[in-house]
Amino acid sequence: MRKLTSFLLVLLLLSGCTSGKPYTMTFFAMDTFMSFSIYGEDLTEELSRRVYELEDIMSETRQGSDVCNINESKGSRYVEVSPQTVELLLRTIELCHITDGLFDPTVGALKQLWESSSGIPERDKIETTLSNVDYNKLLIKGNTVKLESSALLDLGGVAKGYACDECLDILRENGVSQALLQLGGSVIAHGTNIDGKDWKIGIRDPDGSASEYIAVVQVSDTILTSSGDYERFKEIDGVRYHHIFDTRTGYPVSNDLRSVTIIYPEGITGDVLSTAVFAMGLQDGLSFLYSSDIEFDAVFITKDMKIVYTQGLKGKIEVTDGRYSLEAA
Amino acid sequence: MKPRRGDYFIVLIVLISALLLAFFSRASDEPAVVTVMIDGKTAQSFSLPHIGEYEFSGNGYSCVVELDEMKARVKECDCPDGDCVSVGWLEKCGDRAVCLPARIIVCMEGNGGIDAVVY
Amino acid sequence: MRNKNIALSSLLLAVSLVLSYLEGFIPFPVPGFKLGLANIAILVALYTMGPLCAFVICILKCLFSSLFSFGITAFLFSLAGGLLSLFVMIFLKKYFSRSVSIYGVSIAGAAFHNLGQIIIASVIMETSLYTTYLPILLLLSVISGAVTSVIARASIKAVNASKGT
Repeated sequence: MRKLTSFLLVLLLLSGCTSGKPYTMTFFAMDTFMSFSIYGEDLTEELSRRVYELEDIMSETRQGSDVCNINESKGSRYVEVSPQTVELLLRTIELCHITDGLFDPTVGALKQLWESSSGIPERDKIETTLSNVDYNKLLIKGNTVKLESSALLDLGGVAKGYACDECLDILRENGVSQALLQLGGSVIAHGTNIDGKDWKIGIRDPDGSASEYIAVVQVSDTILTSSGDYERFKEIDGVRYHHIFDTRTGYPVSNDLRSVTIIYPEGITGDVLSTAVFAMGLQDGLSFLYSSDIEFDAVFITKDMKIVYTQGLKGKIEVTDGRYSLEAA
Repeated sequence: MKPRRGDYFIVLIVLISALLLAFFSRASDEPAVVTVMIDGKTAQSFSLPHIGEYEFSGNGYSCVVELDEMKARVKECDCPDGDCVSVGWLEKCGDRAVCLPARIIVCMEGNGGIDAVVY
Repeated sequence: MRNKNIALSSLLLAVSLVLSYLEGFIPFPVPGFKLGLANIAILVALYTMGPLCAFVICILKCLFSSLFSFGITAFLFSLAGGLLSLFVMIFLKKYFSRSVSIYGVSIAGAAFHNLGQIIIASVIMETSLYTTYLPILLLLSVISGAVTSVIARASIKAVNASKGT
């Protein structure tokens, strides 16, 4: 009887050991909150260091960053930049072509105009600024970049996505196969959860805080990026103006969508697409999705309380808020 | 006196139940929220990570709850038991400190089974 | 016979209260776990005087050990664990005494004592079952049950010897 007892005790202790705790770290970077959870190896130092490095290079407010240098040169010359910036810009420009300029990293001046005006900026000011928003004015020669005229580079819309990709590289290089990294609102669901199951990611409630969600998707080995009307908004005369701009009109995107979540294994693509597809609206967004070479999945949250999901998420999404109804695209 | 067959049986059942329970109720959530309940109702919730010390009173007794990043504990309590303090740090989902006299429970909770929210 | 029972019962009740008090001084990392030494008295009562006496002693013990020092919640706790444990032990002894000896009865009693307390805790606090500590408690109850049964058995022998039965 004693032998049996000790044997079973040992079994119980062992079962506790194999569960494995992740290495975690939370910190503040790129103007947002980041939280890493890695199984297998403690890469928190290396990952956070890389994120800080990227922030230094790509911040539009930090003196000496590539973006600042480019903006300050005001198109007068080619500015030398880091290879990461070149890589990011090249891929971003490619994606701008694909989305017909609905995402544009030169939208900086427009953002600044809206942020600095106390109310709605004057129409002709918007139009002038808009004429300067053009990614074609971004010229890359080797490892130097020139941005013509009075456009302003703002990588805020892609820097996090790029950081996601860099982090993913670090995880892969070190043989880590299971991790959950949150860079602000973007989520890297690397591999599966510790028990081999899909990661469960909540889709933010557009009317709630950043931790409240209305639906849950089960995913693995991918990156989730959202764009919505809930971030960094200004209220002018009771109307909400958010900071994702429609590059066709110069005004904040205004259509049938509250938010779009893109699910795709590349971070930059997710970043660009979430902004662009959000600007497209539901119908155009779906058309774009079906006709595009990029095979991504998406979850649209519409103003009439619908959650529309693409076929790839069939059976992997559930609504958790009774006010919304789930619909397959 | 030698143990009889039924005795072994009982021991086996108890041990197997213990193992099964341990296996199935393993926390699959990461700790995300510390909830303090008084008299069965939630008095306050703290989103982790959080640092701070707070005093809660119930039924004439008061307890000091301390939060340190991703863990929490009942630091002090003037209840006659002291059970709530002796539990120590609550670190995993499901960990609880219960103060019977004060009817105060401090528990570590996950975020509803999800791993993150994309926003 | 009756007088002897009353005398023995009172003695056992006193012993259980003292044991209950003393074991509070043994520190345990697991909350809510008690060695259950008081169960020795209950076992002795059960095996020497029968279920009714054991029942009375159990209730009185719960009353005295918790109601007057910790209040009604502690009393309910004690009662839930004690009664559930007792009923299980009575049941096992009555219907399974061929295959289950005092060892098994005691272990089952200890296990159900813990279970009873956890159930009442969940009811009082209006939350779902506190299963986090149950596995460890169950494991420890095997040990505590075994320990108390050994001591109880010796005590029962002594009592029977003194009774001349």
